[in-house]
Amino acid sequence: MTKVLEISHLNKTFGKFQALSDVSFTVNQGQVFGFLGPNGAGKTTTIRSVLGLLKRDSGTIKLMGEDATGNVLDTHKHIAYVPGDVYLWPNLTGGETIDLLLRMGGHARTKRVDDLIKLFELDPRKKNRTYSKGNRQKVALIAAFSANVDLYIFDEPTSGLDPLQARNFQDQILALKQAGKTVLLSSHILSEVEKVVDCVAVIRQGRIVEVGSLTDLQEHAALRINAQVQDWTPFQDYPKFHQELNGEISFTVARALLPKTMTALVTAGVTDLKVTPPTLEDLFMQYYDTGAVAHES
Amino acid sequence: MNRNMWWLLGANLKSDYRVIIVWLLVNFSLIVSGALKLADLYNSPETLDQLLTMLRTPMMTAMFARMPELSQYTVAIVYAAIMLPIMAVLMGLMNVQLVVRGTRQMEESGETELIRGGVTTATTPVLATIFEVLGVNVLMTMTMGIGVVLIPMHGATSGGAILFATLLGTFGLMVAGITLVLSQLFAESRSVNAIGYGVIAVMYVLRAVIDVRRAAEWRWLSPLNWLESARIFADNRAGAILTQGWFAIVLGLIALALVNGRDINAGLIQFAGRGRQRATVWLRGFTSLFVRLQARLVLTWLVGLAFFGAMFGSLFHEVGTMMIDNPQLTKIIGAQLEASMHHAIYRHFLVMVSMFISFLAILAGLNVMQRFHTDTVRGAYDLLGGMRLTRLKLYATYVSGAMIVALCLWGVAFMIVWFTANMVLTVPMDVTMMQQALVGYVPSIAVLIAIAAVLLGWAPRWFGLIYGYAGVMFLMTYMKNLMDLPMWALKLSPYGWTYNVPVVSLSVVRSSWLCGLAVVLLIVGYIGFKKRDLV
Repeated sequence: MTKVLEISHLNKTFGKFQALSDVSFTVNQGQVFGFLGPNGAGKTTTIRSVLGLLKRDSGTIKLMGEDATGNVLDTHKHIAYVPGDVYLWPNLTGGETIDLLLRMGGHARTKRVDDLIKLFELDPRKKNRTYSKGNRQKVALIAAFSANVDLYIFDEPTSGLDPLQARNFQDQILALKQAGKTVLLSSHILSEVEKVVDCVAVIRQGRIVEVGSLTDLQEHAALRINAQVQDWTPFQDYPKFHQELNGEISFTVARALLPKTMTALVTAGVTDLKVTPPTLEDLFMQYYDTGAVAHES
Repeated sequence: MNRNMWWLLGANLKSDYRVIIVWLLVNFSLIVSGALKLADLYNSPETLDQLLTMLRTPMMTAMFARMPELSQYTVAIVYAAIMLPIMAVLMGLMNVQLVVRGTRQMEESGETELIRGGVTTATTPVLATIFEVLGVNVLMTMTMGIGVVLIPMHGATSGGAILFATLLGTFGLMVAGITLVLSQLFAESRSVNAIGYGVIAVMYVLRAVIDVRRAAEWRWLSPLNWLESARIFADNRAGAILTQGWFAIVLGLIALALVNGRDINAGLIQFAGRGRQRATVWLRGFTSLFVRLQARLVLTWLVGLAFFGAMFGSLFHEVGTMMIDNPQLTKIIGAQLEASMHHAIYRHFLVMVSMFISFLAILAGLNVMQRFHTDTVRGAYDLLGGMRLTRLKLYATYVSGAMIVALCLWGVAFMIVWFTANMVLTVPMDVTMMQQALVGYVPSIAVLIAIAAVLLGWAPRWFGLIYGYAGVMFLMTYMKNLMDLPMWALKLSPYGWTYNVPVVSLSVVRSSWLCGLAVVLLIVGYIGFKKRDLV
């Protein structure tokens, strides 16, 4: 499998503050890679280091096998990027900005631009200074989606979009995935990421705390049990035990302990039962709460 | 007015206190050092007479001020006449800076929106700024007044000192009022800054022209002429305080009324919100984007410099004739031929004009380069982070852009001076002299832009310092003769190395090493730019 982006032992400090500490992960061809972490965890710093906007202290960053920040004239022809806070030059219109960004990236303007303008419902004749945050993001997204590149990097791209446009964004990501393109998607809107990503890396306080495919992570992590039982007392010491007003109990359990738990549920007179894998949000909260995978037992 | 206004005022003062302290120190030290120097240098009637003779020449009138017509003069009268316009310009610059920080810059950074979300009205931020500048100008007035009182000068009275300082304070408030209104008209801090500073420069040039031409009927036009009419330490006429005060109050009220009539982040003068659907063919890459973004700024500077060039150029006629008419001066210079005398006079006047115009051209270049820092702070380079844009291209575009703008504006403005001078004179300007001046200032412009490039590369947060450095060194060079400043102090900046060109011709060796120094500084700047974080 071709490695599109390979980050290894990346370190970055701002004065005495260690912003990134030994960050390593790889994004392979055709993957939609979710880069997750709370605010200030180091997602944007990592992406800016990949782009060469920030100078790394140590470590390597390879883009299509080459040093990402060596000769940007070569490496950046492979990427399209949308930052989290999109600043656009106030006196240009949205349409002019899209054309300019495409030309600067060396991409031809195709019919796709007009299709995307229609899809995202952008008025391209308006001056950038009059756009809302969401519309500014649309301008950058349209320019990025119109570019035919290997790697698309999105840093919190949907924070200003309404739910309809956020869905359009997801559809475009899925279209890229189907076309075999690679996407690095940094976000903390986990419900949206979950629908499109194959792999995730979780960063916390500048350190990567987990990397892997979403399926693997879900398999390794605890299952959530929701049940109606006659006697709930045997379960009160299970992790994340909670009892609803209607008597339903919920708790988490490691996959290995599931058979033993099922026996206990039968003994307790279970009348209703639901076993679900953890959502991305559950996983994320586990990493965020503890800083490591909670393999509960 | 509510309690939040006072909180906001406190926050403004907290973020501006460093700027205020710097201005306080600069103004106080200029007031005191100017008084000390003049009192020391011109302490006898003979030396004072010589000074007055020099100051009455059209060139010195253009540079500093018109001397009041009196039968008897004291050092204090001369001091007040010279210092008043210069200090007024500095007070004006400070007030433009403070008002723009408190209004447009806060709005651009989103703070105003945050504040307006609370229990505040649209006028709250403007009111906070009004109270801030009011307080700062009162503080400056008191400090400068105390400074003048403290220095023993022949003819100085505390009444005159109070009038001197109060005139400066009210002038500052009037400029603050102008800037407050401009802040409601224009949506970008850059525009308000440029126009605010432009208004002060126009006031100064108008004063020079009106004073040199002795056009008494036009003295109402420039507020700097109003200051001159106060005749401090002679008659102590306080009329200008009232005029300036009224203007300040009316302008403040207009600004408060205007802020209620506009949207947040908008200006009352705003170009249409719609434009092209597609980019034109020539908007192809970073260089063309740079040109497009800088065009309006450069054009504004060009118009301003062309105006100054034409004004100064048209003064050559008066400079020549009035000087010859001055019998005292003829006596001092001796019986030289009229033509060569003219020639010498023009040479000296050209030094003053060249210094002024080259300084403004440098400021224009610095404005162009500073855009990089402003855009970085706003996040423009985040968006370009994924583009095929090398650091060398980024650096070279901004630095060479600044250099080209500064040198071209210098060249164009100088040619306008030359052209206008030739139009008003019967005998054209000496071509060699003009060429010497035109080429002579190129190295100092190049070195100053290169110093700015070093800051851009190594310490972008401190870029603003270059304005202070250029301004202080310009002022020192401008006042060198009057204040008898040592040459070594002037040589701390490139102005010192090209001092008095074309009265003295700049040697090829000195020009070459200055240009070499500029190249070295540009390379040093690039090394820093390559190594540092861009965002």
